Amino acid sequence: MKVKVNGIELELAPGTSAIDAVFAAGSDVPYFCSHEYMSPVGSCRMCLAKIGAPRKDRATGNWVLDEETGEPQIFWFPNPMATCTTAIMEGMVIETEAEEAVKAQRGMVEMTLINHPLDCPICDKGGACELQDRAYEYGEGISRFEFDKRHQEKHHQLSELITLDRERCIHCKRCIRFFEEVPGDEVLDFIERGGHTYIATVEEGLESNFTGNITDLCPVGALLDRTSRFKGRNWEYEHTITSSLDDASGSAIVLDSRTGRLERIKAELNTQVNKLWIDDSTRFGYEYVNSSERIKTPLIRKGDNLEAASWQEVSEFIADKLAKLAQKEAAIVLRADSTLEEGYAAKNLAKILETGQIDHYPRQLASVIPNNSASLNDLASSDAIFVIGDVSQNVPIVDLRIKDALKGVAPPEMFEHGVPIADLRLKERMIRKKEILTVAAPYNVDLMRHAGQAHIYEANSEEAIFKALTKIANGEDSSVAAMSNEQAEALVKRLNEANNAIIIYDGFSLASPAAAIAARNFANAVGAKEIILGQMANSYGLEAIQVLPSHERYGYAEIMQGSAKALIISELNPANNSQYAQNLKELELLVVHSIFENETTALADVVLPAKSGYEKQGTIVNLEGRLLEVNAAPIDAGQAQDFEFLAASIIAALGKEGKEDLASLAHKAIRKQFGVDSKKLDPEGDLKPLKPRANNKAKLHIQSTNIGNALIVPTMLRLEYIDKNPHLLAERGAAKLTMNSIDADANGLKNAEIVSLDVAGIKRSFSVQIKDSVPAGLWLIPALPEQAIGLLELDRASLKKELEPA
Amino acid sequence: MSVLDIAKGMGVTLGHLFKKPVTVLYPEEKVDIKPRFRGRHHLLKHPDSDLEKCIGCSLCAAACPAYAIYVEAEENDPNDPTSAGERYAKIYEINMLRCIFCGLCEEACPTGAIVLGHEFELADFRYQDFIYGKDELMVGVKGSKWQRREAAKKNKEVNIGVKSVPRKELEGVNYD
Amino acid sequence: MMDTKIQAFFADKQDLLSEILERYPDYGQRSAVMPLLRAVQDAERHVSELRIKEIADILGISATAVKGVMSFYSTYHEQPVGKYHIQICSTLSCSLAGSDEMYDYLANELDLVNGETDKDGQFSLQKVECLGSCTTAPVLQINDDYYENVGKKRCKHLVDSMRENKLEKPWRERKGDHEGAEKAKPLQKTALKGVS
Repeated sequence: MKVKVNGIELELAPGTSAIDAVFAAGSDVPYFCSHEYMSPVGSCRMCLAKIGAPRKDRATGNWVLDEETGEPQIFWFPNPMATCTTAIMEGMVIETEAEEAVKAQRGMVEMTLINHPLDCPICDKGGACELQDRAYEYGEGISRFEFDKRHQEKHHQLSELITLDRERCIHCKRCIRFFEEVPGDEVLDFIERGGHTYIATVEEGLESNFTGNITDLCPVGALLDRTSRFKGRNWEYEHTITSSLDDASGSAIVLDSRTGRLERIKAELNTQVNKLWIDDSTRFGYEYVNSSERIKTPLIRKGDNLEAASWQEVSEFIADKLAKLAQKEAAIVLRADSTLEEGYAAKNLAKILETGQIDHYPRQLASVIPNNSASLNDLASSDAIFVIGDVSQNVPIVDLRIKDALKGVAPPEMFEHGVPIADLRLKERMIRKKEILTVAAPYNVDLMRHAGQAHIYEANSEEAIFKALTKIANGEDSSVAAMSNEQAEALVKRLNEANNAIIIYDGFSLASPAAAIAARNFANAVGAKEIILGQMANSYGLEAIQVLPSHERYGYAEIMQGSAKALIISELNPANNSQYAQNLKELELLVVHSIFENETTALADVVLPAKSGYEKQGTIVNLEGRLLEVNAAPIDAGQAQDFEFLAASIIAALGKEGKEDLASLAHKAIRKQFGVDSKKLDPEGDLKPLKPRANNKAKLHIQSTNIGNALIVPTMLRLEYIDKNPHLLAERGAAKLTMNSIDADANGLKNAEIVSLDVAGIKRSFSVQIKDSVPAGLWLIPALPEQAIGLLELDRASLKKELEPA
Repeated sequence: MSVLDIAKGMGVTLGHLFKKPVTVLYPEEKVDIKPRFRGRHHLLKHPDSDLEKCIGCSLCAAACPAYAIYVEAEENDPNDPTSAGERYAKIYEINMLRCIFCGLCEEACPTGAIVLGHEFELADFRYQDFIYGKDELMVGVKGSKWQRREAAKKNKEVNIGVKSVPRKELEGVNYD
Repeated sequence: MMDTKIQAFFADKQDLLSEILERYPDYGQRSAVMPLLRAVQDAERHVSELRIKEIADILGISATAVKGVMSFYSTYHEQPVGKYHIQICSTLSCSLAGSDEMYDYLANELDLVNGETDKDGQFSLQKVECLGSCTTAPVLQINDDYYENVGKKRCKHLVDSMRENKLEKPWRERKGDHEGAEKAKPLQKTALKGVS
């Protein structure tokens, strides 16, 4: 379709909005309410332009021609039009610089500023404020309104994480639309009308996992992040674009740091992964990195105490001890959110120490690498989705991308100026195609609210369900637990007939290799692609590069049970498990690489300060098989280093340095394995899905338990750090022990009661949460990094009440 | 050139012998400084109250061409506010070694909180003493760190070599 | 969730409820929010928070969304309104024609402020946005009736008649009002005085 913007002729696809035509022509119009990935509503009236179009004669069907020029005559709309809600037409003429358009824009700036307080110097948005910029670019600079501005509440705390300044609100409706359109939780709305309009919720708090996004969306300083309230100004921050290590999505984030402290996290655009959204744990769960309790220097045991030392000293000490060991006596364990570079460093160190005792944790028994992998954009345009597990807690971004698919709007085509500013296919309150989504889980999960069919099955029956469904897919008779025969057949039929069917499963299925195989077979049988949710950011990558034990005797659990004489462990706290603590005490050498002191550092011979995920430089592979860059923000962490440095200094102290350093070895290895240059990754990541290894060396020793009375469930929150994230803790509360009211009554427990419990050796404290949607007899326990997801047998007699609820 | 011209010139010289000299016997005598002189800064308070004018907006730091200012803000306790707004400067530091006394901070300040005054005796002995925090800059505090240390030792009032009348922007500042 | 002591409003009105819900297609059930609010408001003279939650539960939407719709209209009330609910248009035309003075008069006379109801539940006073009758400004709406071109004298008369519980139906200056039977009176010159 031909359109003309400020004299420039363009050829654009039908359905393009006029605002995108303007930007495609390299011109600019101001806008506040329109937003990439949300429906255009035209509520701010800022993007006004003079628009006209030729007209066809009804009788003849020919263009009405201008008598003088002989060209089609342009009929101008009687008023300036909002370009964001106007679709282009053949021959449309858009003028953003026409006198009436400019006048209208100026008028709108003045109008918007009538009631907007001029407290920019103390506003956290100041310097990064769309209204400030637009008022400067398009405003008159004066106001004819001399009366008092509207006065409303300035400190309305919407939640512990978000504060609302109602005076600053310009009623663009972005936040309200976000909640309805993106996560589908309608928790905010306009109350009252006209000049009295304000934003509020009558629900208790903001019940959504994605609330923080409204602070990014807000074009003014009305909605603000409380974790970064009154910290640095926007121009003072160092902005580091990186990938989040919070979950397996690898969402793009911006780290705003200043004077060595991380002060804010915002979402960054990655059109392939998280679009512009991140979950609350990714956004608000960073405060621990600024904690004064961080270990900042290497520590070495002198008698009962740990004393500060230099990296040089401790490396020599470690090397001395390691040199005395025989082959296969040392062990190395990484946490599953370590980077690929750290993984390779660990492998190289293991090679030098001649040991196969190397593992990453938390890791499940089955592989997290799908056979026929789907990307997140595939998911967003899928027409049949079967989820088994708890996506919303595991990888919240996958939850959002599923909701994209329910809207039936495929990811938009890019323009040269980026994502379409106004995608006219998106509407407010779209009808969701719930029928394409089937969710099954052992308890009531959040995504079930949005599913056409939801099934609660008995824990650990994933294998049976997948096998039964496969049978049905192969035309045999079978019955599926928790589903009626019609439902099961309908599900199989839908997956079979869909063009882009996707099956998503998580740790519940991975806990048993048989279930994972059954899932894979079912996906093959119905021709569906798979998405597997690993428990941590680089679960996929570390498995792909085989940071795995050489033998089934050398897995994480076996190492903790005494298969090694020396252990180098990064970022995990196995000694919180009393069953392991004794074995760890007996080790000849225990080197703990950790951010904070914990039970394991208390037993360590050497404690080395670790970098957090915001300080590392490296590469991760997200759940799609996408290689993403992790960049380091300038955060003051003393002498903290990543595992690559740790391995290098030990290797140097052993005198076994090779020709190349670990970084270039890793760089080469990544190129060999994935076929990409890790130093020149695409900003949106390089999608290089692998095939799972047919013959995985790590045959696993421990059999999955198929009985149990408690389920370790995924949690969005990083519970190991929650105590040091005060705002997130205040909003989300301590770890929850969730159970049915029958169980609660049987144990005399009340809601919000604080209890302690021995969870398979780990003594943990919980606040009781009673939910009748949880099957009776099953207790739900949120996972720690030292405990992989799955069923376990709990000693319920160890339950102790700690405090009465306040 | 005639003898007359020479006599005229000598006459000017002679005439000045009887005029009041421009030079001042500093440091014995105090200097009367012109109003627009730019000496060290003062952080001001709202008159008749204990509320600071500074709202911790960091605009002075942004304007500073020498990167001499560092501000860290915090939220006011509504029951016991430090400044008049929601936000105040918890830390406000000027590095006097970096400062070029250009006055851009004063220009940038939306509340007139930071104003360059007339004090110019900033010599000191330690690098760290050139970093003036809120304690040093707050209105009512006279002299450099060293001058105040000396005064405290001798149990005397701080004696600065300035006797000028502050211009009106220097609300509450007194050089007597 | 519902308080057991207070019965759900629609518990004994299932016929009315299904009649209302049937008017809308499956995907548009939330449109029933207006008639449901109306039903509650008519019966109880206000819509309490409890009722908001009840309606939200019926329609499967959040209470916030119901509150959003409800607060948009000045005809729904969160607090019970008096027997005579007086609404004064305070938008431009009425404001220019003297609605502010009228508000002051009524506020003094009835000893009420904006949004308040008196102790006896007799009067409530509320400033509202445009009532859509700008040609006959200033306009008062008492319960469901418009009283137009209300001057000071007429206002006093209205208050007196309300106090005696003898409020008459409004007479109308306009043609074609919805009570058709009434005869339209010619526009009074006094009403135009200020304009010309």
